Amino acid sequence: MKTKERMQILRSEMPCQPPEVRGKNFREVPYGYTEEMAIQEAQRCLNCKKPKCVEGCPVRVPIPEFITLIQEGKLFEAAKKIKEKNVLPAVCGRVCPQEVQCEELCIRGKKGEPVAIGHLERFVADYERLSGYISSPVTVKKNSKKIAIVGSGPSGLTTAGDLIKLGYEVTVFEAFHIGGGVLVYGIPEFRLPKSVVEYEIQNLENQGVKFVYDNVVGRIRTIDDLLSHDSFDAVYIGVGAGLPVFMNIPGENLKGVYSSNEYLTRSNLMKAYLFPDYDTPLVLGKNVVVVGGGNVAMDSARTALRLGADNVYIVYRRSREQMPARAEEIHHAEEEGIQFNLLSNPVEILGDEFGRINKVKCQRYKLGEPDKSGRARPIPIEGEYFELETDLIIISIGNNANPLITMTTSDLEVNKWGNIVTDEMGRTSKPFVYAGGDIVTGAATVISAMGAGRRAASAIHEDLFPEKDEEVDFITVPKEKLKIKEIAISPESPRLKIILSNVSDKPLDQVKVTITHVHDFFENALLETTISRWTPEEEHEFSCPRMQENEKEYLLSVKDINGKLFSKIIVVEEENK
Amino acid sequence: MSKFKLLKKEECVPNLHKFVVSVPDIARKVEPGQFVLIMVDEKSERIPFTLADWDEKDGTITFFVQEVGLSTTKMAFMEEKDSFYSIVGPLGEPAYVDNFGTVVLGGGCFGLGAIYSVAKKLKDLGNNIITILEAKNESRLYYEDEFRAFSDEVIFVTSDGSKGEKGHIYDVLEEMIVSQGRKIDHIKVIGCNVMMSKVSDVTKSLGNIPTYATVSTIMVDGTGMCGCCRLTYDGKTKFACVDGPEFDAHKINWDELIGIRNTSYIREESLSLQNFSPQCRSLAKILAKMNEEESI
Repeated sequence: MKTKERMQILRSEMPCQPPEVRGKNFREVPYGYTEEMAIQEAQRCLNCKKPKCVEGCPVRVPIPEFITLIQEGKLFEAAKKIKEKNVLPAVCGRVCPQEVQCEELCIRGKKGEPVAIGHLERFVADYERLSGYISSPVTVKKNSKKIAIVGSGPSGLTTAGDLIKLGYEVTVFEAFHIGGGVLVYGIPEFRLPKSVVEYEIQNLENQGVKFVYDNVVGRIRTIDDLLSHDSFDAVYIGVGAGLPVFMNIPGENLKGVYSSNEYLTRSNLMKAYLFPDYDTPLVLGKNVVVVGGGNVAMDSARTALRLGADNVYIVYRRSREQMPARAEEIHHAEEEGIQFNLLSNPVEILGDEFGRINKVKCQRYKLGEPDKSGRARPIPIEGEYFELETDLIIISIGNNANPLITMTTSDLEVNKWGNIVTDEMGRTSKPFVYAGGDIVTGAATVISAMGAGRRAASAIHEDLFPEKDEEVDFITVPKEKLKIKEIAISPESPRLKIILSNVSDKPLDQVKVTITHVHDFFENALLETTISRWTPEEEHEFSCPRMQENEKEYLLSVKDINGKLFSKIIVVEEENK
Repeated sequence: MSKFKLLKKEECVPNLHKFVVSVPDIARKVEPGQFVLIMVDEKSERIPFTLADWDEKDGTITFFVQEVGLSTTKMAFMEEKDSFYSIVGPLGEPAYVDNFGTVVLGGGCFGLGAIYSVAKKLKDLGNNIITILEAKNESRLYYEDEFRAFSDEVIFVTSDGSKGEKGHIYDVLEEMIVSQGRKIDHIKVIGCNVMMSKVSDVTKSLGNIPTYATVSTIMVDGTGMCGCCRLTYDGKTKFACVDGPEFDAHKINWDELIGIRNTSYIREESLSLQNFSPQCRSLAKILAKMNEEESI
């Protein structure tokens, strides 16, 4: 297809449940693209030589490559391509703020609409999941190192996914009874179905990641316990922010005032929206006031609407342009009838004689000069107040750092807000302890937490295996018959060389050895050879050309005469520094 | 093997049960005054229980459950060898302990059992322990022998005077301090918030005797994440799950805690309890026995 033709295709709009219908149910709002829509949307991508979009992605998903595969109808390959860089594509396709990341930089957006990268990512991930695909255990040689990951939110899951592929024994400790962190307690079903999260966790379990639930690290075991008593070689802390900020205004402890954390945890994790089938209750407000302008505020407002509220108001100090929520969430909320009271802020909550709230008094604001965050500073207007009748207030103005871990780990450096201090790779002040996500940065996005998880995984690997740092790392699973004697890849050499030895006591006949790209779906062989008789202790050298720039993983497979695989070795070439 | 297995369950007094559950990790780490959050099944709420005792060697924890709402009623129907869906802990800060001198420990209702671990610890630290156990009447008192083993003095007080003194813990305290002129260095109470608030009033008026109360609040996560258990303490908002559950009783805003925060879900709680239709436990036992006899 010519560029001119591509330029003429309009962006495929995401089909959604109509607002009047979805406001009464908890089912997911967008239906997702059909295959035709996805392929048509993919054809809008110009496959830029120097793709800007990738620079906007915190985990550097190879965006043009996976979209090209969709254009060709190779949907499984497209999913595989994304997963090279993103452990949770079905999640990110739904919750990433694409409009300020990949899509903001898309060249098509300069004149018209950018390519719907997020919708496409979601489409291929769903396509794979709904096909019934289940990932198999990672067949890698265990490297004998144990890693503890604290928290099963997006950053912890990413770290786990990366490290298990490198041969580590990975255990994830989760405080709640199910995994996913903010993906299950924070983000509602209608935005991210819990079956998607369960599937991703199941995938990691299939790959060998162990999950230990009901474990509050900092209480049942400290970071030091993990390193000494439980003999983990390294610990990654990805516990999120997790300490709700209140406004410190009169009436905040009255009945009917929630933090968004409490409101959403009750509804999402404890399934209070299904009360009394589930036991956890929730105040069902008729006139609901949500304070704040982020995604969490939108989620709270839309949850309250679905639980039968007549009026839901967002009260936010600044104007719409400064709202930190994803554009799509604000748009959806508005469509559903959420009412925005912008440039206003509560100053007092009033209640009746039973301690139940009935009104909130708000002050009007105007915008002043930009503050440190670059957003216009909200300034209260003296004497301008208004009241809203309300029976449910949800405070959604952010989170501070939860101190449970930092206060039980003396040598972990924190900043004045209690966030853990790390280098850019996630190393903390304590050796072999790493951290990432909201506990380091303060409240941010799912994808930035995942980016931090990925960087920490590579730092852990660098620190635990420094001797292989300079050139090569390898992972193997020989089935007791063949053993690697030597692997050689060097930046100077144009070839990869692997020497294998038969360590069984029997000769092997008609052994077929192939080397391919790990990510080459068609398994185009770089080397294919058959050894008619391989005697015990005999060594053979296999060599093939090294691959193009962005293919760093090689698969060497050894099959018997019937094509039965009995050994598989993955060699990973380190990225150039 | 399933986690969180119920090894032993005993109905100490009507509708109040002692549970012994296998959770080795918690038994290894817990300190006096800490609590666990329990979900009976996957649809349950998360309910806090202060641990009364534990055994690191056997890997067991012990707590007391008074049937009041849906979850505790569900627990009453559990049988030995059943398992809990989730037990998280140990949570909260350990109780403040030291060699204070003469310590009065006051326990009421479920707090009778809950204060036991603190009593043991304070005895180890060389305190002179006076335990006051309060109940409605004689038939609701339990754990007497256990407390005798760690107390220098055990005083009973019942609302109807059927055993020991007639009245409440704060009446006994007032009597000890005002009439008998005894010197008390430290007071700890566990039980219902109303009882603890009244003890707090009395000890405050009698010269600010250091008094610590383990508050009962509604909780969800127990890690400081939701703020559901917040209370006003010394004019500031504190979270019972991470800052407590034990606080200086004189600094707690009891009216807010008792009258507002803890009654947030009265309607929902009674609705969900009505929704649960259990049979009479005694009747079920009789029926089971009859069936057994018939089959013979």
